[in-house]
Amino acid sequence: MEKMIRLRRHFEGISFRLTKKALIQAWLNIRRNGAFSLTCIVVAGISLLIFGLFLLLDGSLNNLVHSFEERVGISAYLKSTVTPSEAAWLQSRVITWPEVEVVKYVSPEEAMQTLKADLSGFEDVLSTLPANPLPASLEIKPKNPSQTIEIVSQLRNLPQVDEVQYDLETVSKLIAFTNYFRVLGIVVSLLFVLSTWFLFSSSIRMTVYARKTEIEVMKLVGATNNYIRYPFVAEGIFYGLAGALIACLLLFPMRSALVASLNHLTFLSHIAPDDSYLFLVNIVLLAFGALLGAFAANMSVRRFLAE
Amino acid sequence: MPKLGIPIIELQSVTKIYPPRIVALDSVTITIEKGELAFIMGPSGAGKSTLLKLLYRATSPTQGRVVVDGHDLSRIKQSQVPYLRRSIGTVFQDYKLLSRRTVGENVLFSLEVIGVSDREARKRMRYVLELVGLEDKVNCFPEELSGGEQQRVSIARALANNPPLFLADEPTGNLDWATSWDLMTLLKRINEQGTTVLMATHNEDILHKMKCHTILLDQGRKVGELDGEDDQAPPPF
Repeated sequence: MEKMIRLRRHFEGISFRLTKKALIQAWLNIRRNGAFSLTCIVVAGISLLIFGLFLLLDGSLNNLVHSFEERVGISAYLKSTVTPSEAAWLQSRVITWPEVEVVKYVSPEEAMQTLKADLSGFEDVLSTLPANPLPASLEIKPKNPSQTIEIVSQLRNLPQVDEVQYDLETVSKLIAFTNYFRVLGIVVSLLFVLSTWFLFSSSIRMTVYARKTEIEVMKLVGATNNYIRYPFVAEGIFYGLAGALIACLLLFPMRSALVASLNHLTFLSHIAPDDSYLFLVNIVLLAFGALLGAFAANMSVRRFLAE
Repeated sequence: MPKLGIPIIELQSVTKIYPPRIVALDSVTITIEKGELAFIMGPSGAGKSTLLKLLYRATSPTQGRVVVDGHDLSRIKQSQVPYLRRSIGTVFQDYKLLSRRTVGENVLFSLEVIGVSDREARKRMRYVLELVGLEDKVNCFPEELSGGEQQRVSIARALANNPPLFLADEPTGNLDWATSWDLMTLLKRINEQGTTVLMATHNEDILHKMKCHTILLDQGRKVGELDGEDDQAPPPF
């Protein structure tokens, strides 16, 4: 047992030493590459920023779709002759339909208040009206959006109902737009990621060429492939992480700008991505940058190790 | 150093053909025993370098078997090759010294990359540089040294890990006669300390002076073998 522990300590010592050496070597390589290293970091930063922005906008669109889906609702406007007590009776009947999740009675006064809130800044226009023109309505939320049509046709048969409106079409159009945006975003991000990949590869290949004789000697005196590979992989990870860090730092003010512009429109203010989503995007960018660097480095050095 | 009767290098009907159809070695069979000081002799293009490369697996035979210290090299995995090379010290024809590192750093580098601790590596470095007589050149760069001295750095590096097998490819190629002889004396000393030494050369003078086990190669074929039994001390220069 004691021997095992000693053995383990020995190997841990070795791997720590190797890691330290690999990091020192990687740092020397980066400094030697100078301007080229900087280009790598900047391009990685731009590419990852674009990827990050895409994720941010995608998050907003997702929120928008969800908010519409939640609001997929049916508005049954009641005839002006229907009294509040009749409306309450109607409400109690509709709630018993198996497809219906929630039924809410909205009085003309409540409808006016909602409209005023949505048009904040322009509410003065409404106060010029002589009387409230808005009808009372029943707002119905289906258990499943696909059952909307069924509920609508049943509502239309009710004598108290004047007109029925539903926004299923808006949601499906929005979903189609989101999908289109997603494909576009993925293609654009992919192009930028590809150019970053090429840049990483050429930078690391330059380092490999500069140390060609060293690598040859290392191989001949019995260094393992991993020992030779580590500094290059560390270099790649450094480029990726540094680029991602720049992207993350730039993403903060960009999100603030997005939030500010959405806040101008009250009914869109809730779709701005929240802090936890931004945090997630940052983690994704850092991990993605590091992986990109590691893989590009691995590919660049592989050919030299196979010889 | 007496032979121990245990083979450390065995080539069994080894053929090496470089594409498209260059026969570097043609069905060569040799055995070198532990503790030997042996030579591979032949003109340029005889296949000496190819034979050595097969031993540290820088290349693989087209046919036949190469066994080093009991390991069949066609059966070891690629990931085990570094460990094979750690047990073989090799001096290359072109020395392969790192020009931007000093003599000491060149030796330290070869130890560092196989995971020897800094303290141990420094100890070994001082020992081998003393062995080859270069202890006062530890801070010189390779280009500040003569050809013979560079050669000795390369030998020191090969010996640093205390390998049981030492290979030298044409080490006297660029050296004058006196320096070559110094080198031979050094190899003999290394051999006397228990290391098996195999050296490729085209220098016949050395062969006549050393009287060691010698394999004669010509155009990839083994054309003769001298066992060098009447081994005697080399005449003073």
